[in-house]
Amino acid sequence: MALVLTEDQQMLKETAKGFISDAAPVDEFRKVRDAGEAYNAELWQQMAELGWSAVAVPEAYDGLDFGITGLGLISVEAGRQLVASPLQTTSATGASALVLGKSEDARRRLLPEIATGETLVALAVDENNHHDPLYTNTAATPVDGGYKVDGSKVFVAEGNYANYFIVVARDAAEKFVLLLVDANAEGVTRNAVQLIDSRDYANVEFSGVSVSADDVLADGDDAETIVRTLIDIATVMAACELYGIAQQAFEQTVQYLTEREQFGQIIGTFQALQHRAAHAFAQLQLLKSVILDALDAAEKNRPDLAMAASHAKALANDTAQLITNEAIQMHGGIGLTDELDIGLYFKRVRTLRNAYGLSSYHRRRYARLSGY
Amino acid sequence: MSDLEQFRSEARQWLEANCPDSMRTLGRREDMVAPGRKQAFPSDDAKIWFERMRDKGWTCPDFPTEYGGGGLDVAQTKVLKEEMFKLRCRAPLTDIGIAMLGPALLEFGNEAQKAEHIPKIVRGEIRWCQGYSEPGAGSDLASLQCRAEDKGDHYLVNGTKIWTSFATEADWIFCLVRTDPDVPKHDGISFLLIDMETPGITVSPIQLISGDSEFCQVFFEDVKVPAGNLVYGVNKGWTVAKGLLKHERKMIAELSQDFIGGKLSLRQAAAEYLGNNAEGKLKEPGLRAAITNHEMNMRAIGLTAHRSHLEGLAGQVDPRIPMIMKYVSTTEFQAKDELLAELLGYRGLGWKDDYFDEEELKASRSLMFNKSLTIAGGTNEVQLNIIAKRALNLPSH
Repeated sequence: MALVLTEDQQMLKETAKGFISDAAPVDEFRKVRDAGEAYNAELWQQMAELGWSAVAVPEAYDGLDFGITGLGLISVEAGRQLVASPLQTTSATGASALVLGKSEDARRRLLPEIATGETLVALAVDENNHHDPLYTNTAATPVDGGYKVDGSKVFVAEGNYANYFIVVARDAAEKFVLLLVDANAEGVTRNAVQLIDSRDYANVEFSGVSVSADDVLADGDDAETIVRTLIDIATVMAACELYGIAQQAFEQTVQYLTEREQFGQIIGTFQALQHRAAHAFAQLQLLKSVILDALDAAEKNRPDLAMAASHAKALANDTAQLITNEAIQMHGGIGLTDELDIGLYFKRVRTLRNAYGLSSYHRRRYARLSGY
Repeated sequence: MSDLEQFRSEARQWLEANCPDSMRTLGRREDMVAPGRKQAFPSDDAKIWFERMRDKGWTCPDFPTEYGGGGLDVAQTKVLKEEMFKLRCRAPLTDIGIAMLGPALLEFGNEAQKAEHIPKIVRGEIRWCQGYSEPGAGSDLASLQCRAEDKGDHYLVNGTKIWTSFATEADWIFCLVRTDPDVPKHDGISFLLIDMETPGITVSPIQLISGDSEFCQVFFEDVKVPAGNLVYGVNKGWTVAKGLLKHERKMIAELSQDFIGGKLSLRQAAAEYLGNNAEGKLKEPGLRAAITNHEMNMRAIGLTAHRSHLEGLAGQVDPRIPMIMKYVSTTEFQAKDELLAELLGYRGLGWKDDYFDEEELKASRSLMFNKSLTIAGGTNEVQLNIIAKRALNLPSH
């Protein structure tokens, strides 16, 4: 019953909600932001102690093997409180890259450290203003069974503090190559980029960086599928975070509608606002179903994962955009102040929409996958 | 094998053995089998299929067996529907008695009423119509004026009902009537069952923009209705009405979700009427995006209906989901009509004659007739009011 959570999943969700609202409310994110930090390392350690960093790591590598759905549920709750952490890039995408990849050596070295939260990973895929792995130009040249990497990646999330990059590149035959690159390797330089959401983004240069055979996660004919699957998992995680933010912004807005008075009345009595809120609620319910289905597709690596992921991201983008816009409009001027969390939700939604593809990208992809 | 899987396997075998081949194709509107005294079957196979399903109680699979129903539980009913869908079995009988009045009578009717009416619904012997709206009572349904005066052993009914679907074909009508004009409007309404053959009833069909005239106005002039035909209690009709409306909205939502593309799914229509470009993609990128948007919305609605069902089975019912389903389903269904009309161009606007094929004419009729989906059974605006009040707890004036 993929659209209904199992008891274990329900319990994880409750734990995540409880912990995050106690230990990591939006105010904690404000502290990280105001201190100019990327994330709260102490909080991350606590999250790791709860086992969250080990959720998608197989038991054989000291993980919990709980499944991607679990990470999705945590991402939803983390989205609600704007938690800045390497959870998605390391625990979901990073772990999945190693699990899907062909290097047993890399798995043995890194998965146990990913499980404990010590090693942090970032996915380096985009090279342009818009996400589309089709336009990958980073070159992987074969050297001694491994590769030499040259290219530039942009807007790499959690890229300034990651210990490793998972790099999407292409070989001379234009085939995808997926590589594990030590962030401190010779030839790697990174520069921080500041976006409106005050999260960590890096532009990363790879200049003649050597990658040993043991750090080749995928190449040849298998690489395309692995790269696509990995990006689909990252896409679904971003959709989960968007869903969490949308829920939180919506609930706070409905609350505000029951408090704010104008013309001598609670503004929530106005039908013009009621209908827009009701419409947003309906959209959120549809999104919830699509998100749960996409998580199931990612967890089981279902054949229709690509479609489910594109559906989830397109709908999450649109719904979160609708709701954060409505949240500001319904709050009025106060919604534009830094003091209120609504504006922070708005800003995070804007960057997450770009992450792993805008709705137009995913609609086009969905159509192509549908065969028209 | 679980009991449910065992049931699935048996149901499938039975359907395969008993559903005639011609009943395993997509039906058109005129292929639907309606019940009642005037019942006529569109084909011999339709009659055979109906009779087999009727005898098994599967015209109303979830009604109790004591009234002739199939006695299936919620999960089994869903399984049966799924298996029928997979084999493309047509509905053996389509009726608001099955979808609306039956479930309401099972909930609110007394034993005599259930014993008299439910078996006839299951067996397709009586066709029902619905007397709710009045010329002065649309969205504000509770302001209805059709009067039923208590005369001891009977009620004397005077007034009119409008937008009654298929009143010309129906045998009985279930009505909301005013039994007390001196109390707040919701508190003076009763639910009455009336035989359409009773003297004093006249029916007048209404011609719609689509050319259809299934909607009628029904007039009552000194109509005597036995006192035993009042359901649930005097002045308690609004409770029954609300219960029944839930079934009606569910029915409309499900009808909208059962998008049967026929020959013309949107993408087929797009390829056929607009053509592809050199890359094999639809020529018009804007319409391509609109089709994708629609397909995604339909998928989201389908997943949500399925989620709601699974939540029910898991004992985690979210009562807010049914509140949104009519709104989202009917809105999306109309979006499909509009899109299809756009894809077909002038061919999607045909009125009649041989220049247009059946599918094209169906598209233009649907474009017009389906505007009723967001009005009937509670307008979208009423649905949004309900969500705002009951799901979001927003205050009223």
